[in-house]
Amino acid sequence: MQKRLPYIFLVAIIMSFVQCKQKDDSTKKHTIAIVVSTLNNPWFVFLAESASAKAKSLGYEAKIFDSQNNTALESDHFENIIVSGFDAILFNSTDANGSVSNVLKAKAAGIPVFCMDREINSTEAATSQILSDSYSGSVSVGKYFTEQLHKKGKYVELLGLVGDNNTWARSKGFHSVVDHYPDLKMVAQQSADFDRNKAMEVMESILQANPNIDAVFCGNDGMASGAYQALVSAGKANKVKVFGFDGAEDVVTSIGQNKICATGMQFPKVMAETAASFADAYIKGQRDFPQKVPVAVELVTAKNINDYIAYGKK
Amino acid sequence: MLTKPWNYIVYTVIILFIGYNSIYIKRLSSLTQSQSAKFDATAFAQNIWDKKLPTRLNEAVELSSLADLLTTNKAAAFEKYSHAIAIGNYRYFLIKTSCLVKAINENDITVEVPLQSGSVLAKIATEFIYGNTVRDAIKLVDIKDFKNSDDLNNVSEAFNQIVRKAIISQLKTTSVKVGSKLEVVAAVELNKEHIKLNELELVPVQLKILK
Repeated sequence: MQKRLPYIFLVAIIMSFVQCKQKDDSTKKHTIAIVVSTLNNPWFVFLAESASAKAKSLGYEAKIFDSQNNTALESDHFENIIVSGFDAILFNSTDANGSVSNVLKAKAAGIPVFCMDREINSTEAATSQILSDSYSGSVSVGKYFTEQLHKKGKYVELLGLVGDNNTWARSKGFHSVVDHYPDLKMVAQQSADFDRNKAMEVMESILQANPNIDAVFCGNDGMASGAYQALVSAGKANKVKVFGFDGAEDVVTSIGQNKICATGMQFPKVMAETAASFADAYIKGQRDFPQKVPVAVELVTAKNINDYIAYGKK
Repeated sequence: MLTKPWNYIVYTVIILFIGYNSIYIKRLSSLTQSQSAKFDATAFAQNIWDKKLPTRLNEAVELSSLADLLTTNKAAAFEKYSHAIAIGNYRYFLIKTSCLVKAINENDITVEVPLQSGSVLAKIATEFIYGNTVRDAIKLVDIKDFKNSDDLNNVSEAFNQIVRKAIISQLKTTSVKVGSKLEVVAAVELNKEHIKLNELELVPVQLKILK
């Protein structure tokens, strides 16, 4: 018996460790990763922070990853997230096509991915995609644009990133209205990558070739601000109507000051919170989610500006 | 034990069999055709318009009752009568009303709509028939049937096109004038956070000129 005592003692110690580990597992917090395309744009900062706040309020640990608009960096984030064993990913992609493989990797590792705001070009990869209804929002902007221009005039369109589906959804929605009116003539259509500074440069160069335009439709508010700045520099800000999309703070203020004509107000908080709630439901066992969930975009003009503040927070 | 030549023959047959069943060659144009032929939004919308909408029209809520409920119990009014495919504040109603033409404008017709107390001016859209108002108000399209957002957007446009052809063109060719009385079933968008009953825009889905 005496010989066996050390063994019994050893087994007891091992069992106590096992007990500790089990206890540790039961109290371990689930973790949610939030991967956003860029934290350089305040709109995406708000999206990420809203997702993080909602995840935390639901009892999860949340960590934000910044892809800096770089698909390779986004891929590294996914590798780390998979290795670290996160329970879900709330995802704002850098590229509709390029991001699909990252989502598929997470899916293969058993981690659900809920896309926020930016669509990926696969209906089999993400668990669900909660997206601004960019097309319908731009239909509203296009309708107001046509009314404001009385169905005639020359205009410029500034596109966002050509690899992003929102760029084309907004453009298609806008054109689904304005193209019905042959007297509305688009004199230039150029990408400014959703970037304010680039939009200013592009607009300056377009104005040199087309000094007599009546309006500019921009795929986001950053570009609308850049285009407006270029028009101010050219002394044409009072003549040319600028239309944006997003509901960013400076544009909402500019609409109130009659500098910018209108924007499509997106609701990043609604998208972020819906994505976090879906992730929570998934972790708790739900498996049936609609593949695409559109979130309505509201038209903001000088007439209803008092109903809104930036990012639809009101 | 197989001899060496037989080994080669068996392996070659296996490789050929696997190779043949692993590769399919199709013309890219045939794939494009089959994808674009997958969903016909116009036919889909027309089918709903012809076969399901007539029954649904009978369920349209009287605008005066809706306006009354919106002022007394907004939540109940939205819960019972509104519908929207997208999450958000925009909700859509299918309403019916008899109204009096007050003005005929370039892009719409101004009508006086009777309410339970008094009346309100509204606009019947005749030019800008765009967006999801008709698709969502008729409550006959289910998002779960659509994985592709483009298809869903095309359905909206297809319904709008039907309204332009079937209702608006008829309205423009008939003798509607100031003082005409109309009976309308229409789709209406309301923002549940900012309800403005004095800015109603009616998109007609059925319209009768009474006199």
